[in-house]
Amino acid sequence: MICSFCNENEATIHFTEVISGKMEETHICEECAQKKGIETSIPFSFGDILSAITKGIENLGQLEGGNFLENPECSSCGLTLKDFIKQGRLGCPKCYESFNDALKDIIKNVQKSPNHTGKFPKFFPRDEDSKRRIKELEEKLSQAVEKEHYEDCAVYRDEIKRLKHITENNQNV
Amino acid sequence: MFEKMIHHKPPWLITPPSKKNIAISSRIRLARNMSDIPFPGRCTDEHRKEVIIRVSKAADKTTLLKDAEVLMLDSLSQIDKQFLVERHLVSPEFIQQNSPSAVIISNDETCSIMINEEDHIRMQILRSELNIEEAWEMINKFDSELEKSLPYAFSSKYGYLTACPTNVGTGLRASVMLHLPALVHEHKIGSVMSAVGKIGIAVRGLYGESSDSKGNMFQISNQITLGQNEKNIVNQLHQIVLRIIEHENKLRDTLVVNKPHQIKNDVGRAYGTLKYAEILTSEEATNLLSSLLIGADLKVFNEVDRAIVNELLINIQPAHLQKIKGKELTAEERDIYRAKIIRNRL
Repeated sequence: MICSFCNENEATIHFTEVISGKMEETHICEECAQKKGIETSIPFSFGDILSAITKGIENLGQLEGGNFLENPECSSCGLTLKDFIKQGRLGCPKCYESFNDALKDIIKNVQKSPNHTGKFPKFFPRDEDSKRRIKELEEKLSQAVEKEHYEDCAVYRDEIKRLKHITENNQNV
Repeated sequence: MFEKMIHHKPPWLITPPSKKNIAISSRIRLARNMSDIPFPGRCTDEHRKEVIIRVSKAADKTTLLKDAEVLMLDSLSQIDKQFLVERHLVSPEFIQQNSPSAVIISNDETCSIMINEEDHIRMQILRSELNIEEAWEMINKFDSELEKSLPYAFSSKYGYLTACPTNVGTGLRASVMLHLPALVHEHKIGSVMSAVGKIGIAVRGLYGESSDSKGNMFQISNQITLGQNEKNIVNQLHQIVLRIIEHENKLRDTLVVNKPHQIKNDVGRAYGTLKYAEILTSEEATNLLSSLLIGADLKVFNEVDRAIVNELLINIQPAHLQKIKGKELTAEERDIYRAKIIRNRL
């Protein structure tokens, strides 16, 4: 579907507005949506999210004295903050750590709270749990070393390595 | 696979004919990514292929997708792709892609996984009527099975990490498709939209070749994915849907009392047009079929079984028509063929 404003680009934002009880549909491309600063009557529509994201970043730029111009980049996938603002998509899991400051603002705008309270994967022990378990295992390991129980040592070492690997791969941002 | 699908109604559409079905179907989808590969928008074709292989292997170990066929997107014709969209098995965005992507669909179409859409994994469960709680139980179990063989990207603070921060946390989008002709007729749909919008619930039009609203069908879904747990999200949506249904039912009752002739007139005229028209666009047909649904629900018109109307709502979509006919059709040819299918079925 073609944008009903410029009649050129493909419309990527579609929304329904209700004006005095009558529904009207609008199809618009991202460029025109930004130019027009489109706001819909439906909260949390894609247009809202888009502007919330940009607003979050702009505020951040102002707060840090134009730090935004430095355009930081993700150490893992190379995505820059500007790329992220333009596309509204992150490049990799590590981006959540790389752009943590900017994301904090964005998430505040689009989500209920900044902390996950839902499901945890089974392989991912909750932070406190995993730290406690690593500590326990390290104590057991040093006892086993003292007693020269080398088979036990290997088991403890593997488990510690596994837990650390999991927590490192899944960052605790 | 497609041959079988054309000749069978999706099970989520099969509902007891006696019931008033304001809630047509319920869906839950979960977004997941691998921790060791960049998100699809930023990974190489080699990465994307690796994701397809790993997810397919993991899916084969699950109860719901064991032995299910893996459909590579580039092996599908344009009509097949559109057919899957019309069937609500993949998203319109998914079929636009040119890089390696795949979809796995269970035999009964209840469960499907899009691989390499915006996220590596977008899994969904589709159920008939208002069954989001049941859908959550199913998808939760399915997700836990997949998780055994896939290292999900997860952070203890932000939960499941997704390409877009609007999906992060639970990665869960629950939605219910509702048929709300009375709310539309009485111009009340706008107030419903703004009321539920305030608590982070979106109402969108559904059906059709783009995302415009047709046939008085609306999709109600959660927008918040972080800061609430899955059960709360699902339960909240369930409660809101119940309220909307209550509202719709009240208005329907008032319409029957206050405007009985107008309703009968609308439904009768819709039937007349559908029964005798030679050319029908998808929009017109969908709107008229919606009138027949309300006629059946309000028992003011008993000529038509609502199961047939449900079936037609799916089958008169462009790609479905072309799959049934077995060849490509122009827009004009489709409008003629659509009218023919409807005439024969009513």
